Amino acid sequence: MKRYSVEDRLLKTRFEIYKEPHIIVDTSKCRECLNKPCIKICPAGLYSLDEDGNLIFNYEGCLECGSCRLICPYNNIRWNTPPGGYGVDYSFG
Amino acid sequence: MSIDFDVVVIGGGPSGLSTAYFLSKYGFNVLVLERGSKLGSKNVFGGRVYSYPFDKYFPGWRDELNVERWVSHEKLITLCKEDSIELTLARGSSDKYKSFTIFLSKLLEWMGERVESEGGVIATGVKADKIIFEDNVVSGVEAGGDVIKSLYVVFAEGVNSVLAEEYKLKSKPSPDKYAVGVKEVFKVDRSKINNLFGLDNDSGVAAYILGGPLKGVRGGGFLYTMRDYISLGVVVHLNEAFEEVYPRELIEDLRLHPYMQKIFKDATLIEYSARLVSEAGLHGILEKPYGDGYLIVGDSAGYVLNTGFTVRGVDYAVLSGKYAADTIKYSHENGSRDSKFLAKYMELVKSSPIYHGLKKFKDVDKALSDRYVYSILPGILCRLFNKVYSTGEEPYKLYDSLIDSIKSESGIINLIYKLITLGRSI
Repeated sequence: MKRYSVEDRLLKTRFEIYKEPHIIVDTSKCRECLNKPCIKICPAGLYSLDEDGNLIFNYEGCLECGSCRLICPYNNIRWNTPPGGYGVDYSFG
Repeated sequence: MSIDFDVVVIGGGPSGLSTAYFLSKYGFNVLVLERGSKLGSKNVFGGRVYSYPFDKYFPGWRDELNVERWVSHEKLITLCKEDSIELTLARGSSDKYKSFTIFLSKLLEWMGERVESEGGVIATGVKADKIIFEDNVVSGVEAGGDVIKSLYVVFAEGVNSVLAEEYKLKSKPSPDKYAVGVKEVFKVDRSKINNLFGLDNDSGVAAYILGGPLKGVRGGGFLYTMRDYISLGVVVHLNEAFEEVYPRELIEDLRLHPYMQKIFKDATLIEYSARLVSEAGLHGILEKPYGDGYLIVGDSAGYVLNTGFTVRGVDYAVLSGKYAADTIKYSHENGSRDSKFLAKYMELVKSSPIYHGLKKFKDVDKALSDRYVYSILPGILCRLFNKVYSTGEEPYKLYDSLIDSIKSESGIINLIYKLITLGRSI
């Protein structure tokens, strides 16, 4: 049995992606954050580090769980839901 | 003021639709705003719903709602490195209709039909952006640029109550008492499901899973059988993200355990989903889920109970919707939108199964966030069973096996102390 990557799994879930992000991350303080729990907690793996160690975030594929909203120790994630009709569209939730 | 609707309900989940259904039934002119493109678009849960609130308040529901399976089998599955230990409660036929599995989209579609048949209006794909206050009384919402005036607003936003928080009607929850639930749904042949678990077409399994890849992680796994699908998931305490724990990988570790391989071999993944789960229990409910012109219901108000084995959520949501509707009816009869009258909601909640359940499990949050439990219990069970059922030359006595198993994972005094404190809270 093969392991599903997060990307494989996100392809199974339906999204209607809005042109603007619904979550804004102020990455200026992320360097001070030693643990960066957002990277680990996000079920869609949308938080990562680039080659220079800067935090990068992509809102496409957001499952709208809200974990990053609560976990950010610096309260640096401005979390909202996408506009009506956009974002994740579950059928088997 | 000119009124567009008597009541605007923000959110078309179980609590919002329950509120809307009863209010419509009482003759109120109700509008439900659901930001998802259809009912269920934004809703995720494990998979099981308890029947009692529907029996009580939705006569005829059993003929209308197409459930997936009735939960005839409750399983506690302890995973070891490769082995597994399974404890099953196989219910007698009369008791199996007390809970069922379903996908929320199906449940909400049916609840939505009920709302509409009573004259309620449901607008999907519409997000409430702002709250309108008049003389400090919540008097409507703004959605997509439209102003919608109402006598009462009911917040049924779910666990992420963005709007209610923005207007300080509730405070942002702390991550310490929350977990993230991650779920994978697989298409599995009906006959294979029946054969795997010894089921017929309308009976099903609800399983709680501990140990294996989850050993030492504050959280657990779940599995629910649907008619032609199986849902597998993990619920992991948010603060585990400060350790080297990745819930999105844990669920795959779980699926790849030998016990699960026999179930998910050849199964097709059809959806991946996630949600936050409150583990705060009684300490997580709002002190004042009401105010001038508004009420807060369901998950938004913290009405969720994780007992350690099962989760109560949808049933509490449906009940709180009923109490919200009764409260608005009472206030309206008194010609008031004042929090003095709307406070009746808290009275109803406090004398209900919601509050009684949460109170009974008031210390469960401590047990759920105690790593010790998750690390030693599965280990002791695995070693104990392997000793008792030893296949070596000499069998072991139960007593010796027990002492050895405990010693291998923990101190005996420590274990007794933990079992007593744990035993009291769950």
